[in-house]
Amino acid sequence: MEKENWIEKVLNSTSGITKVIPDDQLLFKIQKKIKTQTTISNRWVFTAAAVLLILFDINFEVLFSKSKKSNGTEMVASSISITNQFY
Amino acid sequence: MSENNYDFNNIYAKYAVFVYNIALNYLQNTEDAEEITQDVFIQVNGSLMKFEHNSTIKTWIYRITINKCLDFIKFKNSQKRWFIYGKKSNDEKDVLKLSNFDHPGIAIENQESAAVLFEIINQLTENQKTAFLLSKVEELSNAEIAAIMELSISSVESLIFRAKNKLKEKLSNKFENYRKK
Repeated sequence: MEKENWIEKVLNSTSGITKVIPDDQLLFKIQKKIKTQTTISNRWVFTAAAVLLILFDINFEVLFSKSKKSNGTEMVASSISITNQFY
Repeated sequence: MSENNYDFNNIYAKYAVFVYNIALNYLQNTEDAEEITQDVFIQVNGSLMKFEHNSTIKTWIYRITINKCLDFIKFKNSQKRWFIYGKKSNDEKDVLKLSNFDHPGIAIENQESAAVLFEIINQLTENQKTAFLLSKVEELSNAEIAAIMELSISSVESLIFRAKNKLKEKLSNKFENYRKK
């Protein structure tokens, strides 16, 4: 009987529970976090875009300079093969 | 104001107390409840334009709050396990002892009993815990709970029934342990 009473008492301990009002400053904290998130995300977008542009540019430069070098190498190779004949 | 043009401040004014109290019931700690409330409204703000009206705004916010609470609990429990032993421990009793029970909505004379009750509630499965809290503490109808949990009413009834039985069983064991001491 004592056990059943104790169990009932515990199970009913939330009876009459009242609503708790959150701190007044909570909305301000939330708005501040939202603003910070928006600012950070724009910054990261522009940074990512700038990095992509730079990578594009580097790739283009490398490819462009490679194609120039390869033309020069071919000319040297063809001149050597004319002068150094083995037969 | 059109249906799609919700004002965030109005939504906050309407639902802040409700979100905060759900979080308090899940986490039994004002600091954690405040953190969850912030996370919920940040997500609400980010997702408001994409809200598809498959449910009411209140149901939608309920779901976000419950999911945030459950994720927070999983995260805290994994941290606590590492802290106690320096390696993962499966001893739930030691994990639960570290919780700080702080629920200002409960009358002072019921605080001790409520702390015991919530300690046992925290041992239920996620669905049983949610169904029990929404029914017993939030005092929602089974139909409302079914809409929030996206389950049938009979599933909700079954969850509440099993939760109550499990609580009684664990409380009975607890009482026996107290008696032995």
